[in-house]
Amino acid sequence: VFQESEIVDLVLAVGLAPLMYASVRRLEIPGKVAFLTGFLFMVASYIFTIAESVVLPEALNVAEHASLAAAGIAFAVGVWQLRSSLVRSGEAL
Amino acid sequence: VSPLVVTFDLIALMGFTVAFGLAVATPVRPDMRFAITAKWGLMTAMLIYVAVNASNVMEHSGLTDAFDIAEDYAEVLFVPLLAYVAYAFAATAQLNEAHAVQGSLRRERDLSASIVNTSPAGVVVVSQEGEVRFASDRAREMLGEALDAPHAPVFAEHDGDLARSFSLAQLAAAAPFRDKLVDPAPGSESPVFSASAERMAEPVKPDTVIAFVDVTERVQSAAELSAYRKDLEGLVETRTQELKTVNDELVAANSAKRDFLANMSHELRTPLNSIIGFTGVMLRGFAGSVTDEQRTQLQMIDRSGRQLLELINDVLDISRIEAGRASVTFEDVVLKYLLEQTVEALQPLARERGIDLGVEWESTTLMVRTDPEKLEQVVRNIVSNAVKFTGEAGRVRVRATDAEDAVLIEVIDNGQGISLEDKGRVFEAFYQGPGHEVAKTAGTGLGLAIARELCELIGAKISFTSIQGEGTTFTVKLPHSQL
Repeated sequence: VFQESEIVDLVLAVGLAPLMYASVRRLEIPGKVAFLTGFLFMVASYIFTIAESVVLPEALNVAEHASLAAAGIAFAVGVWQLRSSLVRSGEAL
Repeated sequence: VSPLVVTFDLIALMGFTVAFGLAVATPVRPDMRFAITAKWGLMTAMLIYVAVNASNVMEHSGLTDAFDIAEDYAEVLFVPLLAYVAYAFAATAQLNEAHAVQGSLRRERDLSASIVNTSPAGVVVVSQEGEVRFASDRAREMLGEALDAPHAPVFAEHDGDLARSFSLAQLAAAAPFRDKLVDPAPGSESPVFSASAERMAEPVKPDTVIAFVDVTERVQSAAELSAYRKDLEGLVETRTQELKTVNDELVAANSAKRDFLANMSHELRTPLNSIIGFTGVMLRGFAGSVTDEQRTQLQMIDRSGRQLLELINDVLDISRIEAGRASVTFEDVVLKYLLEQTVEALQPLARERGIDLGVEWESTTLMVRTDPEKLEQVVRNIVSNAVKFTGEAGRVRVRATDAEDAVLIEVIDNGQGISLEDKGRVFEAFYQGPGHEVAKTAGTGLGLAIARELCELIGAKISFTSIQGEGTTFTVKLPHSQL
């Protein structure tokens, strides 16, 4: 059974992805790749959440949570790179 | 539920927790609104998934599923927050860039202002409507009230023509131009400015930048220089006229001197010939016998008369040459006869002084095309000079040789030679070397001067080499081109 919030999450992610890409496309900030990677893992987890209601419930459930774990690690790396760069150069956001 | 899922949930919980902590610790400029918002957005987004993953861990590990509903609502906020964070990052970056550009522009403007205000040129910016948009401090000092009334005709071109006065606005409208001399207050003792103008690079109604440089001193200097030049030209003309007058007077005086010498010499020569002639008659006894004492006295008269006649003849010759009245007649001359005849005529003098005088030949058929009388006089003067100045028992030789480009007539003696100080004056009229006894040589000091003048007249060149104590060689060079 599909959950409404899961559908909304996916729609928002897919719908806002072009806007986010347009914002960060020309942006030169440390951790940019890690942030984008984390976002893609989030989108993947949304897809797996919806898909597990249709096929391979157990496997896709594991994939969903694995994607979330990967996204967490990617975001942590992204924020760490951003902060380290700022601290190293003595600048601020 | 698979333990693997719980493990992944724990990893995700840790990842998002670390990300949240780092986001909290990320430095942010307090004056950057977008940056603060971005930081808070990032913190919130990370915190949402800290909560979501904490709920997942509790649910999947069997502790409680009480947060499951709230988890679904919170999850919905994550992506919009992340999108806003991205937007805020981009805005922050653009603002930073704008600030950098603004700072750069401010520095450029400050630099331009410093250059304009420290420049000796006064800079004015005038709009298309003729309004003064900017005037540097120096421009205000230079133009004063003219800046307050840009349409008033206060300028004139610096040519003294008051009818051509114009305003600052009209001056700007005439751009572009360079180094236009303008007078900001015509008719008075005002400064003179050099104005240069060009329009700014604006597509619509471009303003005009005019730079004024005070060139009063330069213009005054140029005027003074011009006046001085005119004075100088007048002075030079006056002096030239004076010199011309003096020169005319000198020419007249010289002419008078020549005429006097010629006339006097002519007048002296006639009675002198009579004196010499009658002295000879008396010496030969045609007028009766003379005593030894009388003979001695008569010989002195004869010798002195002949010396005086020689002097008069020389003076007449040089006067004639200098006056340009000496004419030359070129003809083919066999040198052998000319030189032998000349040397023969001087043998009595040579014998009298104990000099061995002779001619040496390389070729007895050497011919030259020249004026024979002038050449003979040249040779006679040189040989006579050599005989007079070579000591007793000396030797004088006349030699003619055919060189590559000329015929050379050399008069070689083995006398005392000419001293270094005398060498430069040998051909001067009336000059006789101080080292010689003039009375003994009985010379006039004109022989070599006449020889040189005659050589020039017949196109020959005269020169000499001399070594003191060994002798002197005079050379007359007759170029083949004349042959």
